[in-house]
Amino acid sequence: MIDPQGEGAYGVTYGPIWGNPTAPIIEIDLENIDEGLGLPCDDCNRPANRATCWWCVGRQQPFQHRGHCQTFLYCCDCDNDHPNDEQQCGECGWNIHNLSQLQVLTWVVGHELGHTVLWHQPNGGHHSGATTYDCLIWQWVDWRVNPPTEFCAQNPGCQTRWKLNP
Amino acid sequence: MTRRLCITCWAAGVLTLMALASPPMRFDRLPPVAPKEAAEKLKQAQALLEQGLSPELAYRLAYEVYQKHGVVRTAWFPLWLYRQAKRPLPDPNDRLAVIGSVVEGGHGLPLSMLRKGATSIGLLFRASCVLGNYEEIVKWGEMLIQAGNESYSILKTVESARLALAQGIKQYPYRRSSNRHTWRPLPLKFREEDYFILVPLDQACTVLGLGCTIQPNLKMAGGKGIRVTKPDAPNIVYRLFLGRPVVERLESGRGHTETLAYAPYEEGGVVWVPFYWLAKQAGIRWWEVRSGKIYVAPK
Repeated sequence: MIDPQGEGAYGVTYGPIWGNPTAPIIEIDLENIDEGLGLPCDDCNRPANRATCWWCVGRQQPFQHRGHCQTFLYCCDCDNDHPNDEQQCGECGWNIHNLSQLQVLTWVVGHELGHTVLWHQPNGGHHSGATTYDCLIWQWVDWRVNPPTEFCAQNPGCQTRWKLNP
Repeated sequence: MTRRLCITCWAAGVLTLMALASPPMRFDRLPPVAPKEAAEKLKQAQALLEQGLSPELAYRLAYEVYQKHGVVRTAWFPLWLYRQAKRPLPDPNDRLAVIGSVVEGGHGLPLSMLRKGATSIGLLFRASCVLGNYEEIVKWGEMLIQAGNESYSILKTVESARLALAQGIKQYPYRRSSNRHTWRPLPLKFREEDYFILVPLDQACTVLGLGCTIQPNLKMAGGKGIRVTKPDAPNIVYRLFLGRPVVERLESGRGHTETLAYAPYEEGGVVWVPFYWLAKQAGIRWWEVRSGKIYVAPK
């Protein structure tokens, strides 16, 4: 991590196993969570004429709808506040499955609890790889429709990666 | 249309898209602390971006710092906190000291939430995103990644910018504010603090057509219950909290916590609130300060 704010991190864990002379402490960054989720998609249900989305330009698909780049129809957060402007598409957030705030916080806090006891080698204690996807200590928070709810209880490949602080 | 996202907000969102959940905090990889004069520029640049003001100036300020000092960081508390604190505050650049102060009960305020921070290249990356310059996004994004920031969001943003460049697209059609000659000044006093434009809540609500109540409530932070409503959305109530950079949005009985870039505070009986947030609630997309007045674009 380079940024003192934790550029984009939803939570940070401090503690003796990281070389910090404190008891384990979890710091949740509501601001990053808030920004990461963004606003819910507000279907204005009106066709867009000349909409472009930053995220979609490289994909040559001008509209963003519910977090996906598309080539047709409607957009989220229609923006027609300029009298001589054609309607634009705003960008909606990434909470495309409408996870509740409780689900999101449970996910982040659960992940951080793992860091209070797990050894941080390798990969900062994160599990990575396909077989570890459905685990609270998986390395990314991608706001999927079914958030992980446990630490690898059902996945032997994942269980072998558990290492406590030696 | 009050719920649209401005490009600034969106860029901030993309930055944190699918963020690395929780890198354990390692202090040995932090860049050096910026000298005072550079720190001020970074602070100003961040405030510009967070208020949806000039990303061009934000970029320029951060670039000046980068040219002179390279990759540096800074952190700060809001100035009002220093005026209200009864004991010396920890050094905001010392994150562990801030956390320690919070754990000890400290100052009765969420210091870690009030602490803000930035780096030179982080701001350059953010400003480039707002400006929609794909080459700059790739340049600063790669630098962030090489410096150890392995946020998935940055990887994805850089990947997207590379895709655009590969197709010969160098610039997202960044929408600049409309003709400033049509903007009107608001009859509203304000103060600028920490490079944020702050306004008295009650007066601002009157001017902007929002509904506001400020009532004594010992159960609420700062002893005041603060509510803001919008005339076109009677089922939504926003609750603000003194000294807390959060807003609770109550909609049809359901609550959702959002964050503010600057915490409201009370001083001399006046509740000061960041103007950018109130403007957003009032449906104002563009605004600026010139000649000592706040000018807003027509709705």
